[in-house]
Amino acid sequence: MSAARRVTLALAALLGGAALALPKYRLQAAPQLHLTGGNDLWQLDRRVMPCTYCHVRESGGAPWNPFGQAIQATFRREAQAGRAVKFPQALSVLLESNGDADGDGYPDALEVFARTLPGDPASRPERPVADLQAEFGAAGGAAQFAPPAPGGKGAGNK
Amino acid sequence: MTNRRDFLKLSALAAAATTGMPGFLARAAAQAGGSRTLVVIQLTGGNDGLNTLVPYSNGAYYAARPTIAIPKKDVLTLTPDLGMHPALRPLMGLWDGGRMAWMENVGYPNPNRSHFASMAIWHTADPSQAQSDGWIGRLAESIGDPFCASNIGAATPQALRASEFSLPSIDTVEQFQLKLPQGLGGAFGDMLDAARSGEAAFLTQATRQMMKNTARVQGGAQRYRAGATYPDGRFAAQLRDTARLIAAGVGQRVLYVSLGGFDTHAGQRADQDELLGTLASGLAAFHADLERQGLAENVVVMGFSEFGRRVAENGSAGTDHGKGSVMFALGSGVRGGVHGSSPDLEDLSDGDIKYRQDFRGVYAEALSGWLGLNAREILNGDFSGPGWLA
Amino acid sequence: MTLTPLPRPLNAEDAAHFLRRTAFGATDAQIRALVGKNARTAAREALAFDQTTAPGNPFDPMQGAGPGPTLQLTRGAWLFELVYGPHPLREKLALTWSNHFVIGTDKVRNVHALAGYLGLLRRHAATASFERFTLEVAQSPAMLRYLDNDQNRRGKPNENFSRELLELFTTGIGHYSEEDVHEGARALTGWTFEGGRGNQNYLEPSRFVFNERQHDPGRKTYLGQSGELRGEDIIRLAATHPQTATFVSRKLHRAFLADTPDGAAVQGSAETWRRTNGNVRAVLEELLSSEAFYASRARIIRSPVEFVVGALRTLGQPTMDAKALLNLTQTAGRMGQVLLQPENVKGWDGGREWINDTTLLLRLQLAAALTLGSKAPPLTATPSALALTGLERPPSAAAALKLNPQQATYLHLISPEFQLA
Repeated sequence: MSAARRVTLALAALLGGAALALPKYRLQAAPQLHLTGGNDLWQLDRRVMPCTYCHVRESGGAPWNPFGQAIQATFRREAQAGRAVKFPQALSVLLESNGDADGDGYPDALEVFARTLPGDPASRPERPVADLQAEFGAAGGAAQFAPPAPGGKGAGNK
Repeated sequence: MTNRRDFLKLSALAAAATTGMPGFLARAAAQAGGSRTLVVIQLTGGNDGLNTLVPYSNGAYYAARPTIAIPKKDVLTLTPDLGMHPALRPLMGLWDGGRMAWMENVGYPNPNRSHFASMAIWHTADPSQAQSDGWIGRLAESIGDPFCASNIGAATPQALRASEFSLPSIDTVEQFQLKLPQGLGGAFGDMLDAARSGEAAFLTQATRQMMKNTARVQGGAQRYRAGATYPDGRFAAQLRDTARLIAAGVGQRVLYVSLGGFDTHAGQRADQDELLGTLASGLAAFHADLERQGLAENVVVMGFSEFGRRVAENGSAGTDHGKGSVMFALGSGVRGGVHGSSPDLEDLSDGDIKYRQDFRGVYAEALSGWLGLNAREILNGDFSGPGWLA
Repeated sequence: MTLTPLPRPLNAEDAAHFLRRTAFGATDAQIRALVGKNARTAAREALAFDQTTAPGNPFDPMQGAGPGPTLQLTRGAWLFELVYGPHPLREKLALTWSNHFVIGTDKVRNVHALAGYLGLLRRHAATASFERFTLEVAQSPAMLRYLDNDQNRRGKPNENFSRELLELFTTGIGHYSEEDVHEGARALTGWTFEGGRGNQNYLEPSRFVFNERQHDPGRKTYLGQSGELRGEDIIRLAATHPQTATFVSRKLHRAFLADTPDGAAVQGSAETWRRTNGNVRAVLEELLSSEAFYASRARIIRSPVEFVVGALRTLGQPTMDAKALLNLTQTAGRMGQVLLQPENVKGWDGGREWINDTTLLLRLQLAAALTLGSKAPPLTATPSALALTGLERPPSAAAALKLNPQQATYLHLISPEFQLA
């Protein structure tokens, strides 16, 4: 028993990764929005979730697109209401609010679900809203983008 | 540069001659020549200094931060003007006992707001960014022992890079040993016992030496019983390993621990409050542990972050990258109190505080005052500090 | 005199030795395929590589979500090529050249600059012209950035590249004066690059440009030659200097013969170098089929990357998922070798410098992880002691007799013999 455990430990250290400097909010958002499926290297690969999900530029940084600005506004509103929320909560609050940041007729949560960019009006689902809405609802609606449970993966310090 | 390289080569040769091989901790014990340890805490991401050491009597602070300022009623009062973030409450005992120092308004010339560049500057202690080796790496070269300082964690930070190599990282003390898979002990011994020459003999000898050294560390570490209850989480576990290495008496002069996540661009209160809580509860347990072990007199903790944050909050209830910030120190060797004057929040440079204390002056005091080393040689210059050591 | 060729056809240990040095290691089948061959033929075939790469590389640096991720993907992609690529000798040479014409990802973080640099090392791995190779490196955005020649302007010279060109890339110390460094820098003024500067622009292409206005056109004297020398002249004079033949030959011996090369053998290669005007392929072909090469056993301590790649190639290139490979690049880093990031411009010293308690312990733990761990790649065929150690009857053989195949493989992997080449 102990031999097996020892080897597992060694593996965890040597074949398991060390945390490296990677864009923090992206690392939180991609799994929360279920965008990582099937890509082993999602943490590194911008195809999974490009910086233009929230930023204007491909390389991130200021300025932000309408969806990024909507996240910022959510933080602001929550703080003004005396609630200290973290990024996953703010994201969830925003998606629950059923807004459409880029004004393309598809609410943000629906675009996340359909894997189009909620901050770019040129990127939007091809299917009719109603169709998509029904499927989205059946799949659990915006609740599926709830923040990870505290103490779960991603909680605490790295 | 060349001198240091040569010196290092010589000292490595000398050490190899006495122990037969560049063994890690055995040599550290022999070489250290002092029982004092400096524990460096790195807050990665740019910790917001103003919400850490709060200028609670300053109207400009509250004006600049309508949603994220620490309300006066929540501040842990230290002086008539300054107080700690409430999450730092576990450190109040140390403050009250005169064992905690805050260094106000620390920075360096021509501040850089890039994480990468600014961290490199703190690591190399060189604002011109010309040096590639770190200040602790140079410290190790100055002691003449490449293994007198270790990082606790997976990857060695640049601060521990010497001109020719990186000082080792110990991910966990538990991992720092050869645990042979079951039933292989005999075969392993037989394999090592075979006659060899040349580089093969060198590797055999190196392996034996490593086993001896790690066994020594483990022997010391196994006798260690934590004298305090540490909170959960990786940071506290690393501090416990730090205490364990100190208690094991393997002679490292500098141990380095990092806590990340301080890049609070959005929703700062939630993130920073939690991180400062992690920091304070971990350090309080660490100090209590050392006291119980009778080692507190020998250890000083010094903490920094690569930069502070903009004075005004941004549009996401967070703060963006800034310039100067605060440093802190803990331990019985510390002169308790707030050192240096607070920044003038109405006289800013591009939205940032204007630093007054060069961080190299704080380093210099740790080097010469605490470790008894030649700070000028290690930092390539003379820097005066705020007098934070007792 | 040049090097004496190996007179006999390759026996099993010769073949294993050759593959351990030129291919990081090999399976028993690959060793058997080489037995009985003429040494010259073996060397020539190994050197006859083209630029094809391993299919299905999961790492695409161009898709990096930022400069940090891009670097990780670049290292992952290289490790994949090292482990699974069709031309291990090309990769071994690229690794060797990355420790000669050193750049570092502390300064060079642009994805195109890094890809361009790596491409150069592969294309010139066994170059027919060291001079051409040096010129292309000198004009690569990666090198221009790393050694600051992009800051080298008329009236405001930056001597960093000019100095290392002589000290580390060509003649070596002792064969030039400070004046040569200074004059070389003057001649190299105006060599810079455009595009891809700054962290934000890590995805933007960059390319060499000659900025005539920043060039110092005056008369210079360099390594004994005078005239209105330009950058190209400086590269030519340094790269074709007689001492360069010795200095770089020694590095090749360091990579392929011994951590502490034999002076006479180095001179043999240097002679061939001079005779062929810096034809590295010719030098290597002679070197890798020489008696000296085959007589030099267990004299190189494998670097962390060689240890990792050697283990996986000897185990028959088992499939590893991308995440595990990426982590192996980090493990190699913790053992002292981050790909494309030596500690300084001098490169990794290697040899005994690779070994200390921490790195040795990691080697042993990694060997366990690769053979006995729950995530260990499946072992299709157990490698023989010969494949693992280069010896038909290694010192570890007796101890391994009573063990099962995984355990025996583990024991060999942690033996000094496996860690040497």
